Amino acid sequence: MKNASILIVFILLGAGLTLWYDQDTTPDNISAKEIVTEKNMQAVPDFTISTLDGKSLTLGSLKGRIVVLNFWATWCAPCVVEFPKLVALAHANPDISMILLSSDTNTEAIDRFLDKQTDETKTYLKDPDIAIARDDKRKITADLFMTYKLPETLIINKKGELAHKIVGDTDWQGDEIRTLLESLREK
Amino acid sequence: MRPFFLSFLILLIGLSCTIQAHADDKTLPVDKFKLLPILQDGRLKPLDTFARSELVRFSGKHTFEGQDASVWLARTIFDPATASEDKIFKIDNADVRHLMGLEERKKPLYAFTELTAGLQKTFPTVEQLIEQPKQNLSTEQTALLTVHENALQYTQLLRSMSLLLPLNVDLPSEFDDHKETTTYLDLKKHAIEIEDSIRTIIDKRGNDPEKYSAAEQRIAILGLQIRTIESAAQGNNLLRVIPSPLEAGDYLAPWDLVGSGQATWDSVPQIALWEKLANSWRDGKSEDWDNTLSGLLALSKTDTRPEIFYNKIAPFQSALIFYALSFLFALASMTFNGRKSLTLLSALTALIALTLQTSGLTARIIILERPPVGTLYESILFVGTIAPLFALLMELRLKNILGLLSASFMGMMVGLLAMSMADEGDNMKVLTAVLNTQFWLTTHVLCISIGYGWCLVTSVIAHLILLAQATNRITQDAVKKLLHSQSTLALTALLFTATGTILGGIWADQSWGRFWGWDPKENGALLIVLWLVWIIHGKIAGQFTNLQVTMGYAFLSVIVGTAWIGVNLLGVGLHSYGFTEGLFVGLGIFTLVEMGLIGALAFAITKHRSAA
Repeated sequence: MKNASILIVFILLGAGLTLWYDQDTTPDNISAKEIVTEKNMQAVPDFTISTLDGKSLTLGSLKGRIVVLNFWATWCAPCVVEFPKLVALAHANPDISMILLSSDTNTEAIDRFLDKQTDETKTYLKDPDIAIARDDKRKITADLFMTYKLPETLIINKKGELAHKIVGDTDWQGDEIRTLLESLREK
Repeated sequence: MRPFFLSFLILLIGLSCTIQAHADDKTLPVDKFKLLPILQDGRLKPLDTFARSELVRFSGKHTFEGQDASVWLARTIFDPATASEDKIFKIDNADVRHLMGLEERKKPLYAFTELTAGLQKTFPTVEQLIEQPKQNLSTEQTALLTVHENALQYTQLLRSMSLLLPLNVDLPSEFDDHKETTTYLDLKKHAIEIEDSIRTIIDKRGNDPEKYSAAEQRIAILGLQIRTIESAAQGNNLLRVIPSPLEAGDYLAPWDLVGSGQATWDSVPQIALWEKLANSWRDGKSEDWDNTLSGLLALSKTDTRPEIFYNKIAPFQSALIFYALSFLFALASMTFNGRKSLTLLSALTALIALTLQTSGLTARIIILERPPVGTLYESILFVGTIAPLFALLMELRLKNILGLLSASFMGMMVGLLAMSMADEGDNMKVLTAVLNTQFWLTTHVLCISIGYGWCLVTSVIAHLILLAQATNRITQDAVKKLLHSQSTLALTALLFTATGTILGGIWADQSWGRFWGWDPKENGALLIVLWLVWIIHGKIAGQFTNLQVTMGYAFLSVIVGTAWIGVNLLGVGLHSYGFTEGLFVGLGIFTLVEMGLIGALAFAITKHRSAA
């Protein structure tokens, strides 16, 4: 009977310890997840592009601003659909810098595409915070960012870290994007 | 299922024409390679475990032609054209072999290239079979389906790294990046230009390739090759070896990483290292191979060494050998009137076995980061460890070799049961949601498993008492002592099984909203408690003789077998995570043998007594 009592004490001790461990670790797990998310925000590598209007732009020079980096092409149907919406978004939010990096093989295709845009979009495109460039030989799109499917969009926070990645097209006027941008403004 | 079959067919066509074959058969050391982590079935494991489980799935063995499973895996993913000649597909069913037009061999092992014709031939049948419920399929049909499923899985493996492997392509100068080798990813960068060029060619010359110039034909073929590789790789997400840059803890297969858009700049060094690894394997460059593996391991945040160690020592299988030796030594010791050296040897080997099992359980706790019992198989491993431990503790007290004999016998029997219950390949499973609680796994599950252990010790001791009395090889004094020990064991077993059952009820109340629902598993647990209570009360009330009590305790093995494994065969109730099949006949035979054995021993004892 003495042995059985010792065993019971051991079981109860084990159970107590486990219960304490369970209670102790649950809140930690939740906060750990948040920390991981923070940790995941890595600095986006720097690169320089030559915009269609001949200017040179370095990503690093846009620190302190929210940057929307969109990989697109004129032959990509969803890219073409979301192009004017992205331009409108940049126009409506002056604290956003928009980089539209095209995978087209020649500049003429991009020019033809831009010519077909509505007057409103054409006006918005004059905004200095909207940069359109062609990624020659896809050195930035494929070699640096490993983007092979278009469209893809990176939303970069003011510190130059990746805050969000969108694969495919999205509703740029929707609540999700609005909330995301709001949260990035606060940080 | 259908798209997979289609991609598989495309692969059959594409396999031979795209990836460069590797001529030499050099084998590089895989010690570091097997350490690389892979995410499969919800948990991170070393490639060693993955390679073993895949190879077991195809061939039923942990090694291939004497080579480590990791060597086979490396060849399969880095040099698929050569690997597809490996005879790894074990097809035991003669009807399936005949149906697929395979030649008969002494060992029914076939290479993927040998299967392709048969797979194509039986594909229409398989298309019909997959529409039917599994229980309606005959043995032959199930075997045929298994061959096709295995072939599909194998093609995923063969193609898992195809985006990084050098291609057999004739590159026109305008798309040549002057790299030593060209991979799919290199080609993909030019895919738009290639498509543009093809469009221009078609506009100019039409759809008939015969009208194209040599240069135009090369471009058209290039476009086709890109599409073939892409089609064959659709849904290829088996080899999840690259950490997701976007989701912490997640791992992706190379094709999935690129195809799902989850790759970022952070994936570039990973992809580059895997490409280098593939090239160094194919070129047999051991220094490059070793350095690249070091690079990949440095990027990995998971330590897979405990699992490698576990795989290497195979603790539970090794323990079985030591228990067998211990049993033989114990028998020999009894034969030679308890010779001390033999008894010591028996104790030593049993202790080695116990140490191995304890290390195995500890390794599993570390690897899985949870208590050791979460599946039926794990409960067998646990009981197979604690039951011999209890018997050895009894030996310490009684010092009559019966404890040693019981420990080694139980170690062997439960060990064999564990081997028969082990799934093919990886036996470390992620818990089902309902079981995912550290508290209840530590209390209820361990408590009830310990109860099973005590029950088994009680039953084995009862068998030994019956055997000793039936053969008249025991004094009345010794019987008295043993009967006393047996009663103590039974009470301890009752304590643990009753406590475990009540704790299970509390867990059920929290999880399912009721304490008791007459679920088969609950009834099984109650059955053990009632059986013990019945025998103990019968003894105390003087309703049962010592012989009847011992017979009742001996039969506890069948009661435990029914509660522990038997109820899982019913396949009903809320304890679905423990459901199993295929043991019905075994359990039935065990029950009949026990009934016959206990009855025969009791008959012999009664006969002895009446003669006396």
